[in-house]
Amino acid sequence: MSNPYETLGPQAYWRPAVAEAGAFGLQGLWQPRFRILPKHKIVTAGSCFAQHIGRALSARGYHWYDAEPAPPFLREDAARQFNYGIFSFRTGNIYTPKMLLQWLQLAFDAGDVPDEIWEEDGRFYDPLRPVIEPGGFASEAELRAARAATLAAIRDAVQQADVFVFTLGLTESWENGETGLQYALCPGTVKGAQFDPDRHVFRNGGFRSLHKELQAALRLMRQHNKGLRVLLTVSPVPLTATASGNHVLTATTYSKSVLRAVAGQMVEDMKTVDYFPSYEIITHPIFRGMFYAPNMRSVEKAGVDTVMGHFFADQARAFGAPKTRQRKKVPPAAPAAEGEVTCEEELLGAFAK
Amino acid sequence: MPSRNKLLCVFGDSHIGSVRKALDAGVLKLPGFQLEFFGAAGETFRKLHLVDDAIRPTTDAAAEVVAHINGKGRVTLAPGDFDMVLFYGCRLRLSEFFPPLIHHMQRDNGYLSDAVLRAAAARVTGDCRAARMAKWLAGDGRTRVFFAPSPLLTWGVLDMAAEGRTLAQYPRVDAATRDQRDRLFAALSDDLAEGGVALIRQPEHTIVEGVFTDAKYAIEGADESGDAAHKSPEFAALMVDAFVKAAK
Repeated sequence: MSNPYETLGPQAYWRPAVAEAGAFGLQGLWQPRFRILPKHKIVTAGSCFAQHIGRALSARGYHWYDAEPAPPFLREDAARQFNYGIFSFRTGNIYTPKMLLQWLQLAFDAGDVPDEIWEEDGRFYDPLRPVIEPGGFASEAELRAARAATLAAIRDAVQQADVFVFTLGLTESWENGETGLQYALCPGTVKGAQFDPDRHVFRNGGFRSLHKELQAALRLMRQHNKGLRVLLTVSPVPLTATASGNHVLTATTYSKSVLRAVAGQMVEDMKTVDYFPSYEIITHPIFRGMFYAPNMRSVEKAGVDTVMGHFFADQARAFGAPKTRQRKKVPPAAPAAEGEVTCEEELLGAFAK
Repeated sequence: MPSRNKLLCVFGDSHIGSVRKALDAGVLKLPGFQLEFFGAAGETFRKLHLVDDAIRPTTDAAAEVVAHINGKGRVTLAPGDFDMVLFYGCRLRLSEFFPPLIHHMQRDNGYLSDAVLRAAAARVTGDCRAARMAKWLAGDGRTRVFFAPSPLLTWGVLDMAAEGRTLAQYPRVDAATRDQRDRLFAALSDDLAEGGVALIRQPEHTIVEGVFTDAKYAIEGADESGDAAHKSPEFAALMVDAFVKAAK
């Protein structure tokens, strides 16, 4: 008597694919939907882990697209301080689908994003990226001009990109309860705004709402770039803190599980969307947590290397190895240097008891 | 009792030649100041270093040049030697600082905050030995220090759109606005001021085509020599007058 499992390859079976292969023998974790070549313009955005992906792609000679480059004369450390070269545009970390949607709506003038500016001690802070400038902006006009530049960079990035890599980070967020504006970080944890329990509301996004917001964001990008392909990942970095009332460990599991499910559903929904399992490669028990730093939160370089090793190997397996790119006189943009991932959520750590 | 003349040193590279010419031609007068020059041109200027608590030439040949330019035998410049020192030119070049940044700022995604501009200015002054010397001198507290950077290149002397020249490298700069120039000067000024040094900015009315100096301030014979860097005595007089106003 035959059954559907008889014809499946070894990757469908735990024993040969995982138990016998071992952590470093895993193969074919990703069956990529589309080829990514060094010549393709790759845009990265999202949670902290997206920074690793952009950097690793650039190190391999892939074209990481910097739509908002640092100006001349800025030293590398100063550029990092001002959040240049971290992502393809100067948004800082985008942790949630709604934050991505808000940025895109502003960039393409495609929706009513509530207007809000924070001010503290005569300095001005952008609620969508309150730590983008150390010390805030000198004036509201400066804040708005700087935001307009970033919105132009987002438009350019979306319209020019071949591949948009977005790393989903969190389900938890804080919003203005009156207007619905979602903040990048909880008011009061960073300079710019005092926390107001009557106005600032906690939101822990569920599958439906996050799926809807991500779908809207990806559709908006597709409207402006029909050929755009999207590669979703889920950050393997656990929450720094949770406001859900649950233990931070279980809150992390909830958050990542929902995001993973949303990413999977999006792949089902849209042919131009793929999911790359960096999350699984770092977090799965097969790896016994070996890629985490002693705090069991930060991801070590070996983990990033393993993730990207799978990325390139699975691309090569599916499509053949790409030709080595000729080095141009002017090298393509490269994200900021190794070892200094900017993770604004870390600021929450300062409030830990 | 009448106050004594202030001891002023104009310290610099080849650009101080235009100050000397301005005085000689009578287009610049400095009542109330007792003036000395200190410096050297070209490669020799690079031999001036901060050694043993004074700015001094580090080779005999450079010392000879410095003494010749000074005319009074002075070969060191130390805190307290003068009431005021005006760094003039000194390889802090507006023509290298302005065009790349303004070109960047002209892009839709190129707006730069004051803090970013300030960081860029800090890099430029940090990389300029004379600017570091100026801050060191000011840090002592006994000498008021001013800095007039090398001015923008003169318009009309060279084909600025030719390969390798300003407009070929930075084609958007001719649309630079006064506001953009003001912001760059402010960034430089703030950075120098933090080190106790006062910026003497190139007067706005001498600037044309976004980031160039009006052709009427070209050095004599500029068309033949192709020298777009150095300026006329009249230009030097404007700059030193600006210094005098600031010093008051």
